[in-house]
Amino acid sequence: MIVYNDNSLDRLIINEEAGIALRKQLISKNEYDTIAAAYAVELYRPNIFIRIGLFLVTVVIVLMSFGLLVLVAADALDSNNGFFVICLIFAFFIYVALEWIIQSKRHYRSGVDDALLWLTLGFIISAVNLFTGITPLQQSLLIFILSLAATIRFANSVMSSVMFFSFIAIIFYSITPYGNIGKHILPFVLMSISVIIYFIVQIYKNKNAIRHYRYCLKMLEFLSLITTYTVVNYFAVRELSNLLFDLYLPVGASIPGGWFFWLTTVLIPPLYIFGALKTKDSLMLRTGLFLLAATIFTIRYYYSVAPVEVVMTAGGLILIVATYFVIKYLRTPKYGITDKEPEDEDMQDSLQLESIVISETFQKIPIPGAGEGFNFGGGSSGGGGASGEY
Amino acid sequence: MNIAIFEQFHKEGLISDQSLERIKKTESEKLFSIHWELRTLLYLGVLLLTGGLGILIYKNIDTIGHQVILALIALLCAGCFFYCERNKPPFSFEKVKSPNVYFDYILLLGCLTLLTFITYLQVQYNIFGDRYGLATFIPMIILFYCAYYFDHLGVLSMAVANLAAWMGIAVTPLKIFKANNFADAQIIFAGLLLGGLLVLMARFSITKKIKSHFCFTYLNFSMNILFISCIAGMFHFDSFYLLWLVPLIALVYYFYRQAIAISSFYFMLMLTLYAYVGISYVVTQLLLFDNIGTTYLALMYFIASGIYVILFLIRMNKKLKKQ
Repeated sequence: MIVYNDNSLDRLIINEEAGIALRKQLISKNEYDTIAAAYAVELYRPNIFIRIGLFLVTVVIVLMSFGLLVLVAADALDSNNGFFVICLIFAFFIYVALEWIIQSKRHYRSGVDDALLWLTLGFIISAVNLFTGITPLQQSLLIFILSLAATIRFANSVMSSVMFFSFIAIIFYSITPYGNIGKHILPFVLMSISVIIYFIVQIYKNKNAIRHYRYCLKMLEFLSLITTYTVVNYFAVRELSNLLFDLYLPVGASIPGGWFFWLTTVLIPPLYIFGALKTKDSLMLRTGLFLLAATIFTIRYYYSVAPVEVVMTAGGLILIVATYFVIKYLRTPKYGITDKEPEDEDMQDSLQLESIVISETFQKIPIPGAGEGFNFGGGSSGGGGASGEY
Repeated sequence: MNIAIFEQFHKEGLISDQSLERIKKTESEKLFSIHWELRTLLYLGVLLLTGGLGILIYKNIDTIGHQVILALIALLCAGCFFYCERNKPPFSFEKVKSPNVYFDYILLLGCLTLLTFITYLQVQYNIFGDRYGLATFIPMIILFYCAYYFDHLGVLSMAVANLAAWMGIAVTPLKIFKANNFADAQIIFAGLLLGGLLVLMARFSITKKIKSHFCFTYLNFSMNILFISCIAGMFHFDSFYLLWLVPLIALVYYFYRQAIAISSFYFMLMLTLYAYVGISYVVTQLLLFDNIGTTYLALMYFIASGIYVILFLIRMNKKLKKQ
């Protein structure tokens, strides 16, 4: 199962929670310091800029080592098969390095481990692609198995998105060979699967036993919301069936069952938005707003009621006026919804990178000669660094 | 927040009763905020409206006329500056906090419309003629003045970009060198000059304590410009590339000291990457003959130096974090 020590990851959560409480000024700096001392995190997590540097340099090292290996072995192995085997052996060694760096050096999202993980998968998949005649279905199956294993082992959320897409690809490639029936049921099957994934995630996302996979689950939740809409969006269905199944629809002609896809295109975004406001789910709300824009583009693509500049001007005006009234209406919170600037942890997650960049960019520059080595006040050191990890 | 964790803290005596109460109270009163969503929609609305109006004006330019549009831009610009002048906090050589959220955006809009106005005049009426230097010099002066007068980092960045454009234009009219393919060389030396100038301005702002928080912006620009010029010089003058190692190492040393002084991870990363690219270029140039043996050496150089860079970055992370 997961490569990291449960206890270390728990300490990480505890530190994050304490950091949030400190930022909201619910606990004092002293209390925060005692918590941080009692639950010290021994994982190696460098600053984001150092992480970027480590990632790049690791990629250079691995690729150069591969070059060296190929040069050394070039004479001995002059066939395609030999090269294939070398690639796989090399991938195995990168993986061993990855396990070693995490287990004995305690790297956690340090850039080195990120690079090694992606390179392992990259080497395996490109080797298989270059040297075997693999079908798209087998290809998606291979990527799915590898990314599933990597997600379980390393709890990497980007990896879980690869897993999700390869799973969708498996469904796609296994249904399309079944001729007409396959083409017609494809959108419905994909939609049902996305919905099922969404509800499975809903059931498990707050389970304590899989707390370390919470970012992976969040990624799956987001992607399943997106695909549920995309696979029944009128534009996507019409143009993709035209492209993939050689339908050759004349301009203006509708697809069979077009009314259904129009219905879903128009209804799903508002459904998301209202559902989100009811359940107070910010991820769903943002997805809904984003998809609403997609719906507007879809409608305009097929029915242009007015020239684009008129639509833009009118739409802009409506948006400004509507938002203005909503902001005014929410001056006092209604139904537990407010317009106050959020200070909660969700925001912190999504804006984490940004806040680091900002705090790094706008940090206070100590004036030389003004008593260096002198830490005034002991307050939070430059915003994003309050939890002492960067 | 997870209440269970804080109850555990309380049980272990890590936080006081009041803190636990505060946390429980905040958590139970937690509201669902749609602040950023609404702001994004508002921003989108403004973007759509201005874009739509822009296209409308563009399509109907024959009936509206250039004077009217120029007048509109001037009016908008004047309005922005009028607002900023009315609402600005008193001038100080220290950092000044902006009076409200909109102030910064309105000032930025004023400066952007000012640039648009000048560009429009030049394109439509050719007001500066062929003196392109003047067309960038005047906005530059105004932008620098605004940046210091209103204390705005964004305007300062625009001013520095304008300075670079002006210098780029100012050095090119010397057409004699172009025939000898010195055109790129000029840009490289202009870059070094500009970078040096910005370093001086950064030092000046710190030592004289005139808007000392501008130092980071100056240093950031100067670091990127200086390193890029230096590495470009290395590529361009391929017979003297070894000589360019001297300024490169001097730069690395200077910005290393700066990165330590302001404990900036960002500066540390950038200088490491620039130095790595520059030094690796020199090493590969020295090693790459048509000889398989040196190729081995080059690959081994990359592996060994890469491991060294990793160790260096890890050590720097520790060093900067301690500060």
